[in-house]
Amino acid sequence: MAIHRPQQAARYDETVRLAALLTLLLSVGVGCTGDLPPPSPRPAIAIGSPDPDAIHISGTGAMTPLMTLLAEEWTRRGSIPHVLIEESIGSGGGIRATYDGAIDLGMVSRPLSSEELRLGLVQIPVGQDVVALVAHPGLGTDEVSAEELPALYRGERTRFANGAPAVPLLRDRSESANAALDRIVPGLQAAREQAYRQRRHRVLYNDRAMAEAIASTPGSFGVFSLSWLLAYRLPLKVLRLSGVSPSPDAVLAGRYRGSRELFFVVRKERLPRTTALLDFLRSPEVNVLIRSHGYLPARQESAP
Amino acid sequence: MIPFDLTSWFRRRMLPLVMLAALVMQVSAPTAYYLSKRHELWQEARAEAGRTAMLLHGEIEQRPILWRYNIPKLLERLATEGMLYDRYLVIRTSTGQAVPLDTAPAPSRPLWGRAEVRLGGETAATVWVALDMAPLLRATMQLTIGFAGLAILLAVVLYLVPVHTVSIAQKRITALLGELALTIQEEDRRRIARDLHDGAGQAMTAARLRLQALSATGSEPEAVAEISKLLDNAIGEVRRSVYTLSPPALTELGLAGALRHHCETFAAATGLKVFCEQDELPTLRPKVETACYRIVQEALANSARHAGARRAWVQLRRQDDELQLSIYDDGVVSSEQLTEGVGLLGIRERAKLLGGHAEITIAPEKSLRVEVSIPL
Repeated sequence: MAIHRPQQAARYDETVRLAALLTLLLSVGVGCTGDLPPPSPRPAIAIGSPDPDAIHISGTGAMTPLMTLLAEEWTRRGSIPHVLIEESIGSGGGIRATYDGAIDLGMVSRPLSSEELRLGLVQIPVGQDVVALVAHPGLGTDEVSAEELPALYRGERTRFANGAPAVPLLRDRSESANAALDRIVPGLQAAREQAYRQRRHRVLYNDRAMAEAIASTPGSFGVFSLSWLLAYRLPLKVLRLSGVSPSPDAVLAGRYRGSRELFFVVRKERLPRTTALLDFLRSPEVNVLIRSHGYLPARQESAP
Repeated sequence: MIPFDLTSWFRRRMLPLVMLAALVMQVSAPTAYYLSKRHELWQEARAEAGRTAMLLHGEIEQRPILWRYNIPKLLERLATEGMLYDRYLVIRTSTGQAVPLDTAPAPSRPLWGRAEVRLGGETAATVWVALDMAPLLRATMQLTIGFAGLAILLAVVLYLVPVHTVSIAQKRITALLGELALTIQEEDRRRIARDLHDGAGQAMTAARLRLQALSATGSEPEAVAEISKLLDNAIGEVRRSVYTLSPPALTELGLAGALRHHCETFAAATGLKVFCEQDELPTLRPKVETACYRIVQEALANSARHAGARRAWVQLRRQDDELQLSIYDDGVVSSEQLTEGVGLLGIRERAKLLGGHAEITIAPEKSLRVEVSIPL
């Protein structure tokens, strides 16, 4: 019979095998969609300055008003090289950009992390910034206690002790002003973390946005740079904290501990071209200038 | 009998086909699921990368040089505002430098989506978003395992049902061929019987009549008497052969009558006392009647020839859809006789060709017992 012919049977088996092979190939070959992964990065470090005619400065926004005023004074005196204050990129961005050589001086308002310390940058103290609780000018109170502040951030309270409505505003997690107040208000850090997680309050990501948000939101208050406020003469209300009015004098007198260190970071290779500017910043007349703008010069000892 | 094993042949042809069908079933659905979901995931990664690139655009415009150092803060803001999910992100500047980021850890099985930040007609940065394919691979694996079970089930059904059907068909064909063989055999027997009766039988009868006429003349009386005797013996032999080849009683009396008649004549011829018991039977197929008759013939002959029996019993009964025929005696047989006898093999073969079976055993008292079942 025909079905017994070996050639036909072999052809049949071959066809079945081929179909099985195609099925397997199809299943193995599928799923190759997707973009290629990113290539390995190129090194970003530039030892030489990108702009020999100017000193580029960037970093924390907390130092921007001070450095803008000092740069204006430096320029007014006709000193060279020119100083360019770039848009703020935060303390972390300033440290990284300084290390990469993208800027000459990095403005920093917080202690360096262990990883950042390993970069080998030189730290140069500039001064201190006073951190305060700043509120909408129409807020129905001038004072907040250290006890009620965490409860306000946690949402357990929506009014101040005198009954005035309270709208807490938050700065981002990496903002160094937070740490300055955490030192004097127990439980504030935990309350703030809870608020971040629950997205309970509005979060602002730079000083300018924070100032605008407080100015435009009745009942609002938040952590803010007092020096910033004084430097730009912002029409905001500074709240007393447990009866203490935040001010540079109060910090100096030890009545108020809400302050943060401000300093530059610089690569050792860039020190020679910044020496003149750094000497100028340490000069007595500049210290007076710093003090007049609501900051504390580095040379003065801060209260414990 | 079929000249080849149809069921085995069919099994050999079905097995690769069934395995292929099972493989296709096992692979196709999980593959389609995987492809579809992977494409969705890729689209999601690209959309995520595109959205990040769009958000980076403003940042790069604002900080043309230092934008990459502000990205961690930007991403934190976007994540807090729910504009970006917790994804593994990679950003490269136009010169291929890495943007330092603090994002989710890199997935073990990443699927990349890419988007460019275009500024003034040039690429200012490129964003990659990696989504984790591990959950998709796990789900696909689970689906594959599930479909493997289904495929095995399907393969078993696809294989066993047709093979079983072919097996039944083969049995039926075998039975039909057996019936055909019996029919042909019986036809041959009848033709031979007819030829013997009409040919040799008639010739010998004519010869005997001529011999009778010759004896009337008185010549060679002794030779005529001897030839006459030889002719009578020959005519008797032919008659017996004709009767054996095609028993006329079966046609004339039916199975019941033919069996009864055979038992009586066999008893008379051999001295064996035969008891014949029969149920009321429906009309049977001629092949079945012939087979039963031949089996009784053979079994009784065995009893008389080999067992030394004095009594034998023939029982024909109907049970459900089967005809049951039993023949046994009070003789004594040995196991060698049981296995070697050609007649007993014929009994088995006849039963088998009609789709039935025969059991030939020796009872504890050493008597022969033949039990045949044939489907009606």
